[in-house]
Amino acid sequence: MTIPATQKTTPAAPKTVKFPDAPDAKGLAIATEADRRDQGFKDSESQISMVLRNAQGQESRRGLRIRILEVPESDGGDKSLVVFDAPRDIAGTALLSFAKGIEPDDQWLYLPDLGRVKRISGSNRSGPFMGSEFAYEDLAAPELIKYSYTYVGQEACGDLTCYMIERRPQYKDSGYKRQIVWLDTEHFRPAKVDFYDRRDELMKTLVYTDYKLYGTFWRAHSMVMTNKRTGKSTALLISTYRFDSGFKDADFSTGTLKRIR
Amino acid sequence: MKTVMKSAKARSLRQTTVASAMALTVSTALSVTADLSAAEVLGARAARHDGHTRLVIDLSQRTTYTIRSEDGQVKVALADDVVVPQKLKTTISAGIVTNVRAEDGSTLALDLMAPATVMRSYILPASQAGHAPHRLVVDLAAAPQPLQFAAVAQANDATMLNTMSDTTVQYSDDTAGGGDWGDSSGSVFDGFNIDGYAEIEGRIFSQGSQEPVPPSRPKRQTLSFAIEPSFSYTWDDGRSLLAFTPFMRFDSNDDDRTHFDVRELKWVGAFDALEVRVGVDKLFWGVTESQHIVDIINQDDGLEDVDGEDKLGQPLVGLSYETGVGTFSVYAMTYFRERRFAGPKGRPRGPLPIDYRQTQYEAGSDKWHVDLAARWSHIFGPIDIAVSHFRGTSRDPVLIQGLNAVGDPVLIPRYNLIDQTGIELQGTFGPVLLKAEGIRKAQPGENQYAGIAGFEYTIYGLGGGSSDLGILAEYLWDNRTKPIDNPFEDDLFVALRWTANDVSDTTLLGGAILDLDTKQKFILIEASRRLGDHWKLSVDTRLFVSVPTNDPLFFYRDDDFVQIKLQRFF
Repeated sequence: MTIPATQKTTPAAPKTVKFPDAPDAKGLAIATEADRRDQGFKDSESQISMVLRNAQGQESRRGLRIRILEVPESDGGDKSLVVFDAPRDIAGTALLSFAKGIEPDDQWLYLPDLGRVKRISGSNRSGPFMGSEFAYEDLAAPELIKYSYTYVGQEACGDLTCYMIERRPQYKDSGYKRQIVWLDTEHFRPAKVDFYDRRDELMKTLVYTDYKLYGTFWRAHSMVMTNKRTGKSTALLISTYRFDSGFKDADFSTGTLKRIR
Repeated sequence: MKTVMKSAKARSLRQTTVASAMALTVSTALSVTADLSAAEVLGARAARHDGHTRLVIDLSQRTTYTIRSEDGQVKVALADDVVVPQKLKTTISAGIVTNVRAEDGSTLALDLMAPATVMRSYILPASQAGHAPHRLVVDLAAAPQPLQFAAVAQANDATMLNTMSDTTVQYSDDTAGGGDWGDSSGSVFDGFNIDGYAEIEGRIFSQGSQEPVPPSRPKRQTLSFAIEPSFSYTWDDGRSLLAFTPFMRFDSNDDDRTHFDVRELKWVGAFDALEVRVGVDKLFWGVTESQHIVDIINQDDGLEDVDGEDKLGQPLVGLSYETGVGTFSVYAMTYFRERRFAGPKGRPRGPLPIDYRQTQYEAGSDKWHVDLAARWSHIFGPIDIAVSHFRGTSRDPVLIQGLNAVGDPVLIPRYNLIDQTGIELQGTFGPVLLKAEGIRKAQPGENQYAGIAGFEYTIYGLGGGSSDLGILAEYLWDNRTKPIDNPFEDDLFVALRWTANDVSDTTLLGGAILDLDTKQKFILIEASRRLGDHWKLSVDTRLFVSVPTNDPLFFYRDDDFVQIKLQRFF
């Protein structure tokens, strides 16, 4: 698909946009604007490598490929397909997820050894993804309805300014009481997220860097999650992005799970 | 490893020709002539971009320039009449450029962290809306380095967000090829893929075998090697697949256990809602953990483990069609695969050797009989349901006592024609999975009815940590009063599965199948973990406890063993 030249840059925040003053309404409005800017990519594919690092500096690598289908929430919710590439003993294992707003995802796991598709529980949101510092809920589609938002303030982030939004999970089984998200005021991209556990202590920090513009969508190529208590970290590095390839529901079925290598 | 091939249908981002990278020890000159006159340098910015460093020099007008690189120093010489302010406004975020300084006249000197090559340079005209001035863009790359984890981890002040908008606009103004829409070389799911493993497996039996075979009894230690590479090629965005997976095991004690199989040799193609598959394949049907009674398409590889989860490849043709009311599939199979059993020197094994030369088939065409199967599956919210029917040669043999050519007692496998209807049901409710399978098997003699129902409950984050504990229980039932070939006719399965969710994927499983009639217990204890990035160690224990004489597992009563398996994945 081609993008007409007039659409090459992100639609700038309307100069006359005025967010409401009340913190909750302002927080929701900012979060809504950030969400709005991420809509319309239709589908995407990416190749991801993760580097897990413990406090002693030892590293371990994970590799995966992911395909996402954007589905309006009224029609069900985003669908995603993940295939694991590394470590090699789990290579070929694949996970199909249907997002369901606040409810846990519907998930199916493909085990290549047995050729078995097993429906699993999507309620393990706070568990570590592939042994990394990212929990499943950290990687799930960040749908607006999942959180309540409050505007906290504004501060400099690098050369830009960022809105600070506090958000609280509205879904069950979250490992967090709240999160603070820094969104830059120019493009509403997340720069940083602080995660507070259920005892309201700072647990992890996520930093997004290496943003690149694809048509009108900003995508970070690097996401580093650092566990403030253990000193462990995971760098999630995306090497390839591909959009609007024309995928349909049929490409996100249990049949697809069994074909993927 | 995975090689991604450029798709023939790739949308190519047409790019203007890129100057090739320049060598650095010799002073080189790169110059571009443009058409305009005096300009002023407004500022300079450098940031990391796409694996290299991008330097952008803001100019009030277009200008000519020459880039010289000598001995690790890079200098940008602008046209003589360009005004370079003494206090140059620079913004250096990250990357190999540490500073941009004004140097005598209209030259900018770049201070570098390490020797760099100039990848390309070009002038970007001012944007029409006036947001950006004329810009001279210079891309520099360092000598190839491994990923600097520390550098990535230091970016925790969001310094990288420095107006990336300018530095990522595609420098080509080409509109026909679309914008910067991402990688155009094809799906990340396409291409060649090689998977698989090689393994060494040892078994240690705690007791001497009950089954004497001249000239000596089967040994108490066995050693075997196996390899299963898997080659596949995927195309059309993951909708078409060609796969070949051979398997070979070599057993140092038991010649009968040494075997070769083609697990997969197939083509699978998806066309919207229709999927076609042709070739040797493995299809699994089932939802329970301890036994898989509905699963019928593939023959058990009886020479592998005793848990019935290893299968022989089955030649078949299949069609599958997805609709809003479920997926409908039909299969036709031929070239029936016989089940093989451990030989006289193998353990565990039955009391009599199997004589495959006398194998009987109820079907006149023997192994070439065409077996048919159909299945409907659907998802109702949290419920997954499937109903299947199979008509053809039973995969389970009836073992008949007979004599071999020299008059020794042997067991002769007989494969009858059957009709088997199966149902699978799973309900997924948060951390609880409810599962059930049932079959009705119409066969010569007594019709068989069997069922299995149970649950799997997982405690996530045990004790506030990151490990999970799964609790499993299933009840197995079979109506056959003489369960010669099925020892699980009124049995209870219980197990605990602990997964550490650590970097090494450490897993422990402890379970038992208890025969509620005979009080026999089959106990399994399994542990596994990954070693490094490519190795995996598994230790499995199988114990046959309190086996009374009327239990079909009686012949295995002294075959308790520990199996140690070391696998190398590639």
